Amino acid sequence: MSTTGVASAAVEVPLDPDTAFTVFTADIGTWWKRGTRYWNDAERGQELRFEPEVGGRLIEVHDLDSGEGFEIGRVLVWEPGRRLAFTWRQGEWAATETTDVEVRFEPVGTGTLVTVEHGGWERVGSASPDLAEGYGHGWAELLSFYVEETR
Amino acid sequence: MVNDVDIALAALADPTRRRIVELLRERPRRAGELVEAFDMSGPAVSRHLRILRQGGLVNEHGLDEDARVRIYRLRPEPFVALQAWLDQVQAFWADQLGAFKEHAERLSKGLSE
Repeated sequence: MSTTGVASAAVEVPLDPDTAFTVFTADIGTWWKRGTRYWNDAERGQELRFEPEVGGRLIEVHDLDSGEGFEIGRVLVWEPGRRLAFTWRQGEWAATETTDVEVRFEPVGTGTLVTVEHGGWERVGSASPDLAEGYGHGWAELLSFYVEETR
Repeated sequence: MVNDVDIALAALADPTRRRIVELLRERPRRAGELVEAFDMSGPAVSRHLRILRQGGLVNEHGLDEDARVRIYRLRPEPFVALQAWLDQVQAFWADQLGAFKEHAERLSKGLSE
């Protein structure tokens, strides 16, 4: 049972932390899955792109030539091989309503454990119904929680 | 349910209130115990407890033998709603991290060949 209001997910990849960080950020345009759950505008969205510095933008690119589109957020922390943090907002939220995503890269054996933590939801006023629609897998998954007592 | 999540998140936006919730996860506690756990005045802790009560995250009741002793315990409902909501966000990231892992594995094969 979560009492912190932070969502987290983790995965282990067969790359050293520096490479994992580079691939995560520089290749996000390649690996970020398509589908309406993951894009503000799935029709126009071409790829996600990080501007690789603190203050840089995370953009859902709608025009590959200009690199412009929807600004998902701004980079807060850019520590190659260790830590990445950026703000995250959806198109329908007010401009001031941003959440925080932190990605950590930790060496594990010959690979890297990549952990994402997504919090700051308390700043999004009553966005839950939209959010549930945007992030959810629907009722089946929602209900599975009620039968799954332990995590 | 949606309101529950919003209210729960707002109540949990404060570190002191998150800590109170953590303490109450272990077991119900007397109000006095909770006040002692923090380096702040009784009224300040009481204010946080009131916000948690109003948000429906905790409830307060008296002891049978002494109604003046106030006992606080967690109410599970808002946390179930919050967890169900967070599960959806987690599924979102688990999906995308899965795609990242596949991409990394393809690269890693390419690097070692």
